[in-house]
Amino acid sequence: MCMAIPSRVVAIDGSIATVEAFGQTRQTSLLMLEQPVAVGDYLVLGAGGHFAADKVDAETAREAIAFMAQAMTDGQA
Amino acid sequence: MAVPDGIRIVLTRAGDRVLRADIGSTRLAVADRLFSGKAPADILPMVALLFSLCGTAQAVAGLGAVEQAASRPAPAAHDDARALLVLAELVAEHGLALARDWPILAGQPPRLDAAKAMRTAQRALVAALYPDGDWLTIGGGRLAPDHAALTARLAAMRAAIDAAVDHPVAALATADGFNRWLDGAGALSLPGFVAGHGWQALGAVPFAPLPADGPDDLADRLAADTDGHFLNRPDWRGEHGETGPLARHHRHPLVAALLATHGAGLLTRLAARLVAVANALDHLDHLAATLPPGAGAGGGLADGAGLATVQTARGLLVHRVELAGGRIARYQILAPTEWNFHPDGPLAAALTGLAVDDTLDLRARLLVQAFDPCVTCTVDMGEVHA
Repeated sequence: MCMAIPSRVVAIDGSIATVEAFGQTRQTSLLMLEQPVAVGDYLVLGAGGHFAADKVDAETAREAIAFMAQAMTDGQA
Repeated sequence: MAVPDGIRIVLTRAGDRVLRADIGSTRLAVADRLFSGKAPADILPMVALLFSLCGTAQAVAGLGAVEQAASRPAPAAHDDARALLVLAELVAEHGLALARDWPILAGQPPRLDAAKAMRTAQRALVAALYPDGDWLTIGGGRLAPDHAALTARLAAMRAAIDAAVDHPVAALATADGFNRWLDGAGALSLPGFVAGHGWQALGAVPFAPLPADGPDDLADRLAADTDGHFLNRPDWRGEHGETGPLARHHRHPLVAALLATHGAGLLTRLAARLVAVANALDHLDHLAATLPPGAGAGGGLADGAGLATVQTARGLLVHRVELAGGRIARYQILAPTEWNFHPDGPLAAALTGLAVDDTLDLRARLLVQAFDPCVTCTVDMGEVHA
């Protein structure tokens, strides 16, 4: 299932960002994005995670993360 | 809390052959957990976001399933508008592979400008159809097509695809055109790379396409799937069918000719993706020229069950919904990757028996790319048996 949880940018080095979601960090390329990206922004990664596919506004991203967290908590209960 | 979302393939080798390909998944069938108990109107934007790789197709499948379950169909014009958005996403998804992933696998620089131009044009299509942004409205939003804008954006997508393959893609969808391209500008492309290595028939497996609209017992199998086994490991009458561009276009003259020559192998699969793009672009032009305006359908939501199928870039996507008291009582999503990356499915068969040499890792990754997973997929070398 092709979940795309918004990931928060925690560091940027050139065109490579380090992003975090649910405690996991990974690196992703920013080359496919039209918009500028800063630390603290939220990104959705494409298949495989090598390239960021989209920038998501913070409110929507937090809503999606909360939605997902609730589902995972319910599933573990 | 980690979110599992990947596929891991381990190749077990014996002598000079791959003895077995074990496909393991850490993905979760989470739709039911995510959406049960919620109002249908609230979950559709979340469907589009959380499954954003093919978010348009996911949202359209969700809309269709909810509308059927609620006995509140959208007027017919919305079917065409949604089909246009889904087809454009299909083109963009394949286009990302053509412009970005295929060149990298063939040792060429990616065409990121083409990939970005295509994405930008595709994302602007919703505003040219639903100016109020209400395309996810159950029963349909305010559909007011801006035909000039649609035409311009689809032309931009076609131009980006043509740039990615260094040729008009429409001209590749014939046997002559495809072969001339392979000998010319396409020699540096991934299909050219594959042909140059003699890997046209790599991974050719007995071909078992699913019906275009899915198995005829889909609704019953999903309704009865209380433990989620069918969602994770689907079958059709006990067999492991495949879905995707080859299953969809195997009767196209170019694809049929390649199937006859090379079987359901690597080159046939890559060509089927080119045909899928060319066909979709033509269909998009027709839809954009003929799409009428239309209002949505008002009314309440009845209780019931609904199922909708959508053809995505990777194949058949199915959403099934049960509504009770105006809320989601059950939500199931069956994605194409579950068929194609089934542990006993077509990719596993394609990898089994591959020759073991220093190109095995590359050939395995080429086959994975040809089957086009919707999640991270790694290939590791496992045990070596005597």
